[in-house]
Amino acid sequence: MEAVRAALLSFAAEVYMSVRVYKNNPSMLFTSLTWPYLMVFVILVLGSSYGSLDEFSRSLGVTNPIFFLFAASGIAFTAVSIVDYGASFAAWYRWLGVLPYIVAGTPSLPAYLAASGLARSLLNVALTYVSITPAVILLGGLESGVRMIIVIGVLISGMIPLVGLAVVAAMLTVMVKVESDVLSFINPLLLLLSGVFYPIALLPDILEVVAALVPISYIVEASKIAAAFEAAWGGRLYSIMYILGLMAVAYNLVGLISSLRLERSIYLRGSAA
Amino acid sequence: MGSSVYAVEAEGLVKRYVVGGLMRPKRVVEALRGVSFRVSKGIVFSLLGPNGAGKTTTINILATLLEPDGGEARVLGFDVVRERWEVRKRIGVLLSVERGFFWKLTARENLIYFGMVYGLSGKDLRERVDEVLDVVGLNDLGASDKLFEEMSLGMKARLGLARALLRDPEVLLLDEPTLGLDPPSSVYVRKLLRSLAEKGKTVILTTHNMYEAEIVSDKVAMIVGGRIVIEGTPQELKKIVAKKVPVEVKLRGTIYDGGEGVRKDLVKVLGRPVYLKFSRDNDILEVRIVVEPGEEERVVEKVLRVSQSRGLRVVEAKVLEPSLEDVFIVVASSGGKDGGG
Ligand SMILES: Nc1ncnc2c1ncn2[C@@H]1O[C@H](COP(=O)(O)OP(=O)(O)O)[C@@H](O)[C@H]1O
Ligand SMILES: [Mg+2]
Repeated sequence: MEAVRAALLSFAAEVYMSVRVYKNNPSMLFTSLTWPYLMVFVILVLGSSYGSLDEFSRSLGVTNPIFFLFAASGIAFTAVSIVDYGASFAAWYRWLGVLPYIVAGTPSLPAYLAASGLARSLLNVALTYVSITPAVILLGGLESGVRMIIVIGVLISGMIPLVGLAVVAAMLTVMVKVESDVLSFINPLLLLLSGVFYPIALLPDILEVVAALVPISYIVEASKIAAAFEAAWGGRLYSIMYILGLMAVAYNLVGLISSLRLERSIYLRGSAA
Repeated sequence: MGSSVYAVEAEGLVKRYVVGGLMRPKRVVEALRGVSFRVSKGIVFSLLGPNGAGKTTTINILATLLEPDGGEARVLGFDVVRERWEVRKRIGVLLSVERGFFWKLTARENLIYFGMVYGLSGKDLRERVDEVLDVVGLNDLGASDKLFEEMSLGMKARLGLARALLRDPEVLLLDEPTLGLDPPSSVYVRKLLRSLAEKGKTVILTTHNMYEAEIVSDKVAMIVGGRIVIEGTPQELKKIVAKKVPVEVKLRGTIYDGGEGVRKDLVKVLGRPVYLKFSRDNDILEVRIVVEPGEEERVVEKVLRVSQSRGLRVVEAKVLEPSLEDVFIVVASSGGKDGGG
């Protein structure tokens, strides 16, 4: 089928582009690999002005705070980055001027969006993993390293519903057509709702409901479970995967409808050019 | 559908843009007011017109990037609205010579990326990329492995053409392919377009450069204010002014309104269209008027009087050979509004 081939080739194209961009600009690769460390450093410095690390782990309900911070902040940012990619995709590609060539060139825009979004997500996951695994093993031993693999598995499954959300975000930016990042508030909001930096239970009720609908909080929950050395983690992880699976189906359906809508809007208003 | 003797047929294309909204008053811009033309296969066809005439809008509609509000268009017999994908497979598009690629990728890497998005893969893809890099001369320039951000505008234009050729399309749609290029690059691009047409491709380009349209095209359609005002071969078009005499007078002085006041005075005194080009760099106002043989002196005298009354000095006055520019002056005034140039 044309759409399947288009999806596979779009996936390959995205991977090819990312690898080449890093190859041509090694300093970008360095930045991508070191930012989780910067993040954790900033959080620790900020956090220590409010209270001890022990208090932090008690309020978030984790027993291994450093492992949790590395895993969870890396994960939260990776997860947010894909929605951010969706939200900035249209504006950024239009600014570069590549959007019309993609729209008029791909045999299937939904296939292109889903496949390139997925490729980006997996690349981001891989980079995060490569970046934080040494620190995790150093701090928590080999067992933590094994636990990271579980967390990464959850992360990848969590990325699939997020690709759907990313496509919705892409549609919204094209529809609104205001270049200044309309959706720039989305990143801080998603990070707040992720539960990494602030316990979700302490958020206002409405935000708690929203957080329950955003896949990121479940991914973070999973990394908490993996970090907490709890006996019952297997069962809880299973229910999280179940929820993420349902979300993947739901959000990608909405994403598909959005991408068809997006195509229509681009065409009617010429918003690709 | 899908078999036609014409590469492109446009019939009564209408496009309106709604601007404003969200705090600002809404306004409708009539970009195309019924554009019709036909392009035979294997020729170079230029859509010639001033800024804002509707050239880009026309190209975007033919390229299936924009839906018309009225009228129809077909590419190789396929409807650009209902058979979008059939059209897309058969066209190569260039929308801008300076943008449209990833800055941090090389020319070759960019082409490989777009090739994959277009559905090419493997050995086919690599060979095709090398082929088009050859055709546009980027291999010869040694620029194929240069980052896009390090390329000159001339190289970027060639790369844009290379991408347009990736799928070996029958029809090329090029929006101002020489805009801003240095003369050698423009010459190269024009030669390339001619050679593509000789190999059987149909090249449709837009330009506001009269000279370019005259030397590169088999056929020209002049578009002004969203309407085609005249169409034909450059020779046919020039027949309109063959027996006329273009007069050019250069004025210098303090001009605040781009020459609009002078133009109004001249039109009143002469009773015929007047074409102005104002250069802010040296404060020179070029006045071009198309007159009948024998009228030259009288007209120049009148221009002299008007410029004196406005405190402008005549720097130079001369009689020229008729060109497409004069066809434009004559027909633009009877068609849409004058865009200036
Ligand atoms: N996206 C748009 N929104 C509103 N007005 C537009 C848009 N694109 C073009 N126009 C207007 O439509 C007219 C034709 O524009 P265009 O097709 O770009 O002309 P050209 O390419 O000949 O310079 C101009 O008046 C221009 O201002
Ligand atoms: Mg234009």
